[in-house]
Amino acid sequence: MKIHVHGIAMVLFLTATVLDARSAPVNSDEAAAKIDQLIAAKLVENKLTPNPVTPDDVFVRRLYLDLTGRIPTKRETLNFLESNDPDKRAALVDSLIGSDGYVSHFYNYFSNLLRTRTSISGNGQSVGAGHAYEGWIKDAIRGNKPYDDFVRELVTASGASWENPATGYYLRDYGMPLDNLAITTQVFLGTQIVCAQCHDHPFDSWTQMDYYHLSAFTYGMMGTGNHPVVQKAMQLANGGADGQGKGKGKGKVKGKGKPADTGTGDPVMMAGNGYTGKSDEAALRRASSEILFPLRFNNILESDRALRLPKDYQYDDARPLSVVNPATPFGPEAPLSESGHPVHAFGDWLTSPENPRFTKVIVNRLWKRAFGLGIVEPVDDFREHTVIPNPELMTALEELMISLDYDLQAFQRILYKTQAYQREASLEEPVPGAPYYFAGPILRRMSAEQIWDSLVAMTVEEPDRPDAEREVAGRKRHATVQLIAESVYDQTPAEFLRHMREVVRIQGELSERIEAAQAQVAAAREKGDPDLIKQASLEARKIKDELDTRIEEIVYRDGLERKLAEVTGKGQAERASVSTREERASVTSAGGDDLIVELAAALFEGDRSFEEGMESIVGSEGNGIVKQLVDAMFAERESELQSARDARRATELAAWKVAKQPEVRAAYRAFDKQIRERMKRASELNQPAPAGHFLREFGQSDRELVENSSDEASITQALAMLNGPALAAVTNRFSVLMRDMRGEKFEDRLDTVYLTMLSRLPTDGEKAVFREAWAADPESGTVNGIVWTLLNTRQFLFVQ
Amino acid sequence: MRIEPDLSRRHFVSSAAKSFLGVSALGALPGISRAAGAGASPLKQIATAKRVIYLYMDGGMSHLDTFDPKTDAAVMGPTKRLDTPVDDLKLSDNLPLLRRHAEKLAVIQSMTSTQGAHKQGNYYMHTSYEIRSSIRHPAMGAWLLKFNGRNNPTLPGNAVIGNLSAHPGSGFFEASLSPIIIRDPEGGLQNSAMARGMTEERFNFHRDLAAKLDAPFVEKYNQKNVRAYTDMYDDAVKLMRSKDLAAFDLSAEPEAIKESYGKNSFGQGCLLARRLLEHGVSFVEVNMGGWDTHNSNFVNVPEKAGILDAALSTLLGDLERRGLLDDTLVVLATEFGRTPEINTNEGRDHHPQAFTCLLAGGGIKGGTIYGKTDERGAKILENPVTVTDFNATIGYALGLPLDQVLYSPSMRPFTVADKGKPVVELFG
Repeated sequence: MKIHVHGIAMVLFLTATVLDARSAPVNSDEAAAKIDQLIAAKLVENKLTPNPVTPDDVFVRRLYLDLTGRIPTKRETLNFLESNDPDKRAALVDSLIGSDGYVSHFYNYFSNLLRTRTSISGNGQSVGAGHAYEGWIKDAIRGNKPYDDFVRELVTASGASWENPATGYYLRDYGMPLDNLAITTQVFLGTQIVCAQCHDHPFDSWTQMDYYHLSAFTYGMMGTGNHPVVQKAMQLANGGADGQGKGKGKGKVKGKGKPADTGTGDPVMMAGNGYTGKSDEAALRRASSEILFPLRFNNILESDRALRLPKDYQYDDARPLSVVNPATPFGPEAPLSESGHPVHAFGDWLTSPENPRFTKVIVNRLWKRAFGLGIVEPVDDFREHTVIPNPELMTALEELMISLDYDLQAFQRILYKTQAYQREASLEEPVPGAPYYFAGPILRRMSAEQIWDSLVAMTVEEPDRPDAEREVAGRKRHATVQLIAESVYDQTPAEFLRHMREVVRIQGELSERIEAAQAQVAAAREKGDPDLIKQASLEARKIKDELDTRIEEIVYRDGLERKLAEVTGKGQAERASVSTREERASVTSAGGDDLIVELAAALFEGDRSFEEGMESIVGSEGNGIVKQLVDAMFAERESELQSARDARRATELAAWKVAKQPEVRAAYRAFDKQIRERMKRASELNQPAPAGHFLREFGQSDRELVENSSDEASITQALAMLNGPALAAVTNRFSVLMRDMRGEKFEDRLDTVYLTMLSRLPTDGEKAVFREAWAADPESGTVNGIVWTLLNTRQFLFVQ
Repeated sequence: MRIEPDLSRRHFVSSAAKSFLGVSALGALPGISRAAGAGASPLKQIATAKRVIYLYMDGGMSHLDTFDPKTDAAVMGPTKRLDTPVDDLKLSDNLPLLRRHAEKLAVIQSMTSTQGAHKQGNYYMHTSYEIRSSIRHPAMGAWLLKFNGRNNPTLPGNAVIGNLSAHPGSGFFEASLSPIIIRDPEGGLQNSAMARGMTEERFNFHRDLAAKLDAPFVEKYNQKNVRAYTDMYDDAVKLMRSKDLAAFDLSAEPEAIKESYGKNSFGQGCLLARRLLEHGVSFVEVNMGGWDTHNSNFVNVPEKAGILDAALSTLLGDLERRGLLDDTLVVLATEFGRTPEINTNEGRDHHPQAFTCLLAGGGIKGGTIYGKTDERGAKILENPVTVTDFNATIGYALGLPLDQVLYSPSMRPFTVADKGKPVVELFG
């Protein structure tokens, strides 16, 4: 292994200071005081004075935005401003950290960092996985999972997405393992090594060999949509002997076995790989890819595939195409164990307090979240010769993080209670490239999510409440994929072959009907009738849907029946005995599969047989069994949601005094629909929002690159604020803001709008401006006018 | 590696302060657009085209059932070949109207790509680089603006029309070079009209009020991004009042011409593209999906091709009539072709080995067939054109310096079309 000199130096430095922190108990007040002391010392050294402490109204707005991702409501602001508690700032920090708003806002942060997408890869097959990954990250934040565990679990995640939702980390870079490693080092080690993918790094000490050594740890983490049973069934079709026994390894596509395919792991339908044409083998291959299609982009395999140097490797230390072994480029070595995959050694090395960059990067990132700027900038490009402007502060924060055992909530409680954080934002912007010594935080434009979420907070009650309906919808999506997997992965090669042949037969049958549609196209062309051509094309789509449906009928139904028998026991009586919720839990804990047990409960309800259950749920319509089974499994939860929704509506109609006139009711229904579907927290919408959405206009990341969000001004933002639908939602008669203002006089309304949007009362000067305007044009005193005006101020968009 | 001294990361960061539609895209990077002047590159020629309409067939357009039909019935299925006024050029019977414009077309039948999956192929075709998780490469429209700036200061220089899932946009270049995205060509520019119930008078009144209320804040925090928002609001209002906003308004077009382009999103998109070009937008992409015909190729392609046939033939005629075709390059591109084998679902699968793209107008010699595939359309027999060659040809028509290296903020070197060789034989 090659160790850089700077690596050794860092390790020595660390062992001497930072690592001693591990056993020290932490006194939060002392820790905050120490940070303030270190900042004060630097300011004195550079002949700078700290900014004055913020007034309460500036503080409350900033803290809510920084910790919960939105402006405080009028009530929250008043509660804080009117409190006489001398420790009210600390108390507010404590109450906001860990709240639902905190989870939402921190999720947005990680989403920007990890480039999460609701549809992770592929054409919708990974939407369930995307929901689960999102849920996993939110749960980790909510449960305050220690940061080192969080990262280790991400970078070592393997298996099916429903077994381990953290596999989203590798699914995100499906088929791009070398790129994924570059992302890992950028995000968690603040180190840019991507140049070294093709040649030695020109401005840092990374060599291409370093890159390959490091990649060798994670290269085996392979996305795959294929399954060993396919290979075995094909062998059987070709007269191979291996037709007995099940598909390998209980079908969970885990473990160290050689994968069924060695490319990107997908039966990508392109020429030159044997999937085309009408020969028997090609037809079978196509059938298998049809069967496995819904399962693609859902599995990460811990494979032992070897990483080789590129064929144009140009340096003398190794030959092109030679195999590269895992080795770390800096910090301690990462010894491989006999039994475990190298990725586990990597995970331990990456997240160790002894890794010279791991802790530094996270404390610097969290510092930037609080203060608007990292101690070191950019936060993801630490280099050998990076100069840390306040090294004592950096060391103290590293020590703190280690002694807190990577407890991010505890760490942030300390950061947000420092005097330094509570100071006013600096009047002058920091000069890029010049050191900044934190006389106070810097002025920041709200992130796209903060702006959007603030509009949501002005519109809906309980703006931080997680969206239970979205969660269930995501789980259903995922359950659909998992059910199909359960039905397919355990098939014997003989069964699978029989199913492939059946699919080939159906395809042949349907292709005759497609030919009929083709004839229709020919006739339509004769007549010059484009509508007829369109019809034929719709017909062809229907035929394809029918194919999918019939695959479900034949392939998945068989598999599910057997799987059910396996999990719930052999006998009919035993099957029926798991029909209650309580019993589900006991069967599950006895080693059964959660989802299959739920399926059993739905199917065998009231002691009926599999056939009866299927008949009752699916009927004989042939609409595709999987969706209907999943609907049945989730029926109870969905009806609970429906009841909750109805109850909420009833409460609102009464509390908001919604009049009975049809047009008022219609307006209420429209508002209800809007807040359920659109005016939701950014973290509860699909990730990322589509191009052109308000969030994207204001710079939400497209999630293609790490931290690709932007706070730059653009004309489309100004247009959205001046003319877009944002105003309409906020000034809807049922919005929180508008209901707060019911019956208020002009001056009171002005107070309410100011308290809601800017977390303060208007000054006398501002009141005078409005009064004068009102005198000139009474209409300007309408709520719409006031809200529109304030929405279009810089004050609203910036966090002081 | 040589590093351009005036292209530091800081330059990129500071020049990005103003986003697209900003007032100062030109000259934002002193030293680049200047250095790109005449004579900077031996590969640079005098531009034959000033602007581009780039029609992208998303999903992989079957070359066999459109611009490279064969005689072998086993390959062609029900698709037939039609003669055109150009002797050697045959089109499929899915494109009857385009026959009349054969003399305007340069048909490159020997396209070949290294990328066989959609996302990768689409990205490669748009940027000339393979997709990476660590960097976004600029698409051709952004390269054009980077070198040549914008023509109309109130309108974006670069637009993408259609419902596309992902577009590389301006890549690592500043956001001001990003295309404006227009999903619905008939919807106009999003949020450019005053909200319902708002009057001009009230609008101005409230804007003045906002400025008055904001004055203390703006004075206190006299910072770049705060000032940028002040500028952006001024520019937004300028745009709302600009005559150029009419460029987005299709209702100004006669019904007959709208019909002729085709009353569908792609047809109207082509019409909108023409209007945008007339108002000084330099690069407009119009996107049409649905070409991924693994299933029912011979039902789905006729539908898609019918839309393309009407829109493209109307566009070519329209540009010609308006005297725009001479200096407007029309491009038809796709990520790959499709297999000669017809699969069990009566479909065709991905075929990056050989496919067809088109060029027309903008100095291109019409009635040209370039390259050749075998009798099944499977392999290239002569003059292969890679994706980078194809993009270099577009760059060549636009007079861009093909060998000039620009650096990403992470200091990686890139060129327009990644060292592809322009097919100079296509120019008249």
